[in-house]
Amino acid sequence: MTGRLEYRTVELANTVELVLVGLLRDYGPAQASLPVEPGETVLDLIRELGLNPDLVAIVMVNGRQQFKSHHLQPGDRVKLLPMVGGG
Amino acid sequence: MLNGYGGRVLRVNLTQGRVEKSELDPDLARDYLGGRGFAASVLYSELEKGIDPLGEANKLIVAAGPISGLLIPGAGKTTFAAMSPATGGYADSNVGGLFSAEMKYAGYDLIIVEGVSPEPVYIYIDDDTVELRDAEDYWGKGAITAETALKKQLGDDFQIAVIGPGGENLVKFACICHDFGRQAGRAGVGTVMGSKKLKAIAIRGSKSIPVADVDEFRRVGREMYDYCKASDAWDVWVRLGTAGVNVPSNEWGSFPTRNFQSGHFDDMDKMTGEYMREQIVVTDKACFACPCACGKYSYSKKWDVHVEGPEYETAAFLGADVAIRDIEDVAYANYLCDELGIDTISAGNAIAFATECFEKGIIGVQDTDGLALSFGDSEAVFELIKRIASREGIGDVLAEGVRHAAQVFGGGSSHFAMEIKGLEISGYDSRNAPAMMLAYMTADIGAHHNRAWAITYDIQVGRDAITPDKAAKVIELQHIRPLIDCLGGCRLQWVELGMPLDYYVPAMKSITGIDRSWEDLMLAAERVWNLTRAFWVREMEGFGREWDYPPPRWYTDPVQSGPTEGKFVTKENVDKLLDMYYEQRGWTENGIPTREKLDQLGLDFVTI
Amino acid sequence: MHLRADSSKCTGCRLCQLACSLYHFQENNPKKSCLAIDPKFPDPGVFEVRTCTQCGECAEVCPVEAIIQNEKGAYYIDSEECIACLECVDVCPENVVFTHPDQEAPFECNLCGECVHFCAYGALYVE
Repeated sequence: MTGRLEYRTVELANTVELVLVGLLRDYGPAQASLPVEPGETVLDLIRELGLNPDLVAIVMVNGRQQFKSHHLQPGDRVKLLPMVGGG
Repeated sequence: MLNGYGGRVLRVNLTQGRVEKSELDPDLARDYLGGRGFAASVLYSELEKGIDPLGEANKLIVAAGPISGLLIPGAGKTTFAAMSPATGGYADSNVGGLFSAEMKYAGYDLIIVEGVSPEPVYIYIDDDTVELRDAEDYWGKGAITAETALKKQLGDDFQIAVIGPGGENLVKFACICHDFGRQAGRAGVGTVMGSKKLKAIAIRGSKSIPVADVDEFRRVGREMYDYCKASDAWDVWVRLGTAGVNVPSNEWGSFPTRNFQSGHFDDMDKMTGEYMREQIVVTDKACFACPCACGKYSYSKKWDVHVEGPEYETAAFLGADVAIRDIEDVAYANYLCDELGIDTISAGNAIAFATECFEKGIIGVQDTDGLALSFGDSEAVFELIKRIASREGIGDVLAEGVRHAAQVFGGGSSHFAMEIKGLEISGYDSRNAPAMMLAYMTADIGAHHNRAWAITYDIQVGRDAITPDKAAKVIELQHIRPLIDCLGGCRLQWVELGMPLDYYVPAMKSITGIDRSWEDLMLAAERVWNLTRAFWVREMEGFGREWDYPPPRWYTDPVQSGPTEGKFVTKENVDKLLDMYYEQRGWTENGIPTREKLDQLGLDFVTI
Repeated sequence: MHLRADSSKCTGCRLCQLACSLYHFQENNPKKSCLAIDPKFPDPGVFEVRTCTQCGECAEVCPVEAIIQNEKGAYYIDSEECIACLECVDVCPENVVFTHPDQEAPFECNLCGECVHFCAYGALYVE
């Protein structure tokens, strides 16, 4: 029993909170808690979702813009935005 | 009293020193809405064919729209328009800030400036009082310096539109500056102001703007505002502004690099919107009635200057396109352009062009008074900006724009003079985005992205596709985005925050009292689009398809590096895109609006 | 309790003034609003917001006692009683008693709170 609880706690901690904005919701969940491997990049996460990386314009991790090569940590809040209309 | 409008047209003749006020024609308001619509209508009907854009017969149009001055998110745009001294064709350029709101409070929807003043003047407007005042104390001053001085003299509650030395010296891409860092930048509207010896327009108003249904208007405005505030994208755009696009554009391979030799800049660590925020941004600065302030007002310790920006286009042209890799240096170049009053897009594009010519040996130190040019040399960029504004040496050539500079430099440089119709291409290399390339080719002031931005569409349906839906998309965007220009608004609440365009329908109804559907509004936009096309047809001998072609680099030179390496759009596909576009627009195979199309839009007075 | 501002969050958008005018006067005219935005440009490049602190000095100085408090405790000028001497305008330490050519009497913040709703940046609050 204790073993399973421990396992569940560890599992929940190794997640990132993901928000997809705008038209990206046509291609994935609007909000989700997703497991993350150590050293995983934002690009890895995008690919796992089956999203075309080109459709993801702006990447925010914990409120700061990052490159897609940014390495994720458990507990990160990730927001992915498309750019529909440009400048 | 016309609901939603200031109600008056102000006509100022600088040759005669005469001021005339008249009532705004309700038919003009009904058919052309305002803003860019008014500009197109006045320029087409009042300008004779063949005038000199720098002479007495050109007119500078300043236009507000029906939402200007009202509680509608993004109601902060003012349109400046004229026949362009850069292209010879139609030009309008809009600027954020507070000017059009103040016009409405003073009771004006439209200001038409005619003639040429014998001495430098500024137009002073305080509600019903309109005067031409001596601008001797301000002529020669930088735009930021002059705005500061004018506000100090007249009061902080005056809104100022002002040119810098660039406009005074008739640099072909001089801009009209407003609110300490915003510009009507493109196609030389500032040049026209300079040619009229008009240093500034200072305006203050105190009147209320009437709307048809105050309760309904309050409800709609509140809903639009609430939508914007609740948007998931809100915090991102406020944090980064348009500089947030630096990174994605680079990842798409559309960030113009080294005069569009590539679409990817290899050193972005100090060029991101995030780095900029942390390094130099001081204040989030909004335009009138905007809940998503994109203005990133900054202070650079390194250069000891304040500047609004750099925003995306400036990061592209005074950054990647000239291979400067530190946004703080871009900020200084931005400040120089803002104070001198020249467009950062055209200036950077022209400097990049000169640099490529220099690196290829087409020009040398004998042409640059000893200044060596190389990509990445920021000091050379700063120096060239100053020489362009003062028209010194090579600056005098570049001040004419890249099309002219290529003719002067020779050596086959027209191949990579990145302009369409004489206007320098703005910040998206489109060799792997055919819909975007089509947007640039068919924009009605020359190559500018504000009419249609289609890169995401290219990505969604497949970049390589050359299909009729891409032309359809460009056409649709060319109605939507300029519609917002007619209303006096900013498109970024829709573009960045996802605010539904539908809101403009009840907004316009509650403001004007006229019941218009979305299709009615789109029809007005299509009307204006065909009118500006007709302006070009009338002005340019033999105007047609050839004028829509992009520079040869775009259909011959593969992208040199990055994610779009090797890509370009073939000439065959350029023609195919135009074929599909003209057909869907109801134009001839040569790109001329047909009689049928013109009549359908109520443009029976257009005889081209 | 009064309207307060954190000027460091102000972006100069004027939505507060637009909302004030629309709700206080049912008009579209930020020149008829009850708070002030002072831009400080080009240097240091910030906006300063002035709001009514409900100090009551206007009420004290009014020679005809035309300035009273509403149900929220906010001072307001009864335009029927006002003789437009403008002493209240002069005495206000924040310069937030306003006049306008259209209005016979000066006007000031009645604590309706609409501006707070329309400040997207959270610069305004009532406390």
